[in-house]
Amino acid sequence: MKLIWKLLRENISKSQLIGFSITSLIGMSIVLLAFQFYFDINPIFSGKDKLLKEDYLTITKKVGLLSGLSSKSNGFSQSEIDELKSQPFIKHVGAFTPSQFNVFGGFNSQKLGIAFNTEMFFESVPDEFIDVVSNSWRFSPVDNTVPIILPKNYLDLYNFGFAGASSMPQISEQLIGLINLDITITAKNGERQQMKGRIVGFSNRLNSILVPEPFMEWANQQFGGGSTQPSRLIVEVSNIADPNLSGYFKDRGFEISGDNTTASRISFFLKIIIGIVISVGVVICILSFFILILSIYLLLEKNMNKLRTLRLIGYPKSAVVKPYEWLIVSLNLIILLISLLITFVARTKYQEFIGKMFPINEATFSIYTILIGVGIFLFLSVLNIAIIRKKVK
Amino acid sequence: MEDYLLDEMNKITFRNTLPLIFAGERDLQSDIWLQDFSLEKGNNYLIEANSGTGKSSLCSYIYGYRDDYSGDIIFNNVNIRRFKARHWDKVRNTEISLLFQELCLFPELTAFENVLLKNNLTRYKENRQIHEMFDLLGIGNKKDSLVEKMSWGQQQRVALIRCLCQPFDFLVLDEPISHLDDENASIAAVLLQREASQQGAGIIATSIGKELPLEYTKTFAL
Repeated sequence: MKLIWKLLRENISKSQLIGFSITSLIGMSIVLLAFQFYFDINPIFSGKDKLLKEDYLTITKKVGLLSGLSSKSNGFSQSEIDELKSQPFIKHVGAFTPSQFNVFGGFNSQKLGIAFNTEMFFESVPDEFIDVVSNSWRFSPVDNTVPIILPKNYLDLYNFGFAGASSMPQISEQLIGLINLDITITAKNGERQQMKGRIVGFSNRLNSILVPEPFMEWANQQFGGGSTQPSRLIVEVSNIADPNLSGYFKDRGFEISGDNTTASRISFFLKIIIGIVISVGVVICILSFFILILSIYLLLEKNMNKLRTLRLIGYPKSAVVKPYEWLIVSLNLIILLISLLITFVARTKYQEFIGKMFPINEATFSIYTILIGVGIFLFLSVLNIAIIRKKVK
Repeated sequence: MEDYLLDEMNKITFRNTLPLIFAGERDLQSDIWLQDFSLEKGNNYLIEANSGTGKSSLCSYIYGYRDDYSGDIIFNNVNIRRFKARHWDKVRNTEISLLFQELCLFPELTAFENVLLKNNLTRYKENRQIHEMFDLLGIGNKKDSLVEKMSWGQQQRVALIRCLCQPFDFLVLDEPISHLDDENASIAAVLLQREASQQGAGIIATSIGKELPLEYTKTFAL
């Protein structure tokens, strides 16, 4: 083996190999660093991280100039709901069911000397979308009490806006729970029913006056007139940062309340940019690979007579190509290790910077980065070996 | 075919063999081309030829690095056209040893390294035996000289030692003594015959006038 190496190392061009090593190192480092950066930054934009957690979206159809004037319903048809359900980025879809009767709510307390009444409405959504946990959240027709959930920002509006301005006392959630509301339901045909209402909680997620679904079904049957299409939907999405998401809604003219799809768009651009960077790295890798192949071809060509003679005195092909295979595999391995090191060092640098803005997991140097590096190393080495073996007869 | 790899080689048979380059020649007078005959292990054969009659082609056919011939060449009972690279590796390591006319030494290695290159592969001779052969052939003082600095006659002896560093059934010598004086030629002949006899091998020697002094079972005119 020593003698063979002594024979075959002649004509090895150091400058060519150094040229290959440098370009390959640059290419490999760019690819690995881009992947590592992607693995580091992606959780920030995917729903797994708390930072952008907003898995529920409320969608409506745009209210246009004419749709407001026409009597045609602006609701979602069953086929539209089914299509939504079949999208990969949507986990669940729930419809807001509106009340089909008039509601009059009031609060009268002679002790406090307060009395107010207002016309209002009810909506209901399936329980799994509700973010308020309460034992009182149930209804049966024999009860005369309806549990109600209000949007949290109603309470905030009152406490921090109205109460201060008009010298009224601020109200806590617990206090509100003690208040009994007088609810008057008026059917389309004029029939009336008196009920009690109790506020059981405040929702951050749902911007509506909610009652339990069983109540709504019962009341709509009792006092309503026929069924209508839901005009608002609540959807649970699997990944808020999915770039397809905002595009899909936009194409169909759906509006998302409190547009939370910024993350989706940022993540989309991030993926494009990282994709470009990875492509550049891959192109450099490919170019360096060609340098290596040309260099090896030249080397084999220069040493072809020796290789042929070695084969003639009985050396098997595997033995004569082995020195070149070793040379290439060890060169590739060194490049892999150095580029992993570069990636690691660069990562600690950018982590300091990003860590100031986002909480990122410092401990994990992604195993995937190493696997990708090893994958590229194996791929290039196997390709090299195949080319060498093909060249030497 | 696989079995063949286990066997020793007893016979090389030629059947109507002809180098393609001679295909159109009408008045070809040859004991070898277009004939049917066999070379048997244990016998010595001399092939006498004028230059340009296909002597080196013959050597390259039975050593498996050219196949530009018509007809067949058969080892034992296997047609060598069916051989793959690994079969030839086996043939070149254990069955046929060839002294190339052009020697095929590596000029950038020393004489001894050239021999070692072969012996490292076969592990057939001990270093001591190699030293003895160098001494016997009168180039004991040239062992550590680069081959490129040696005369052709000296190089011929190095190649000769190298081709003895392996087991073989046939020793094929392509003009083995073209550049040796008579004394060295007979020393070489004795050494080659001794090694061949030890292995029970056959010798096939070619010559264009200066023949290796051995007792030949048969002489062919190419």
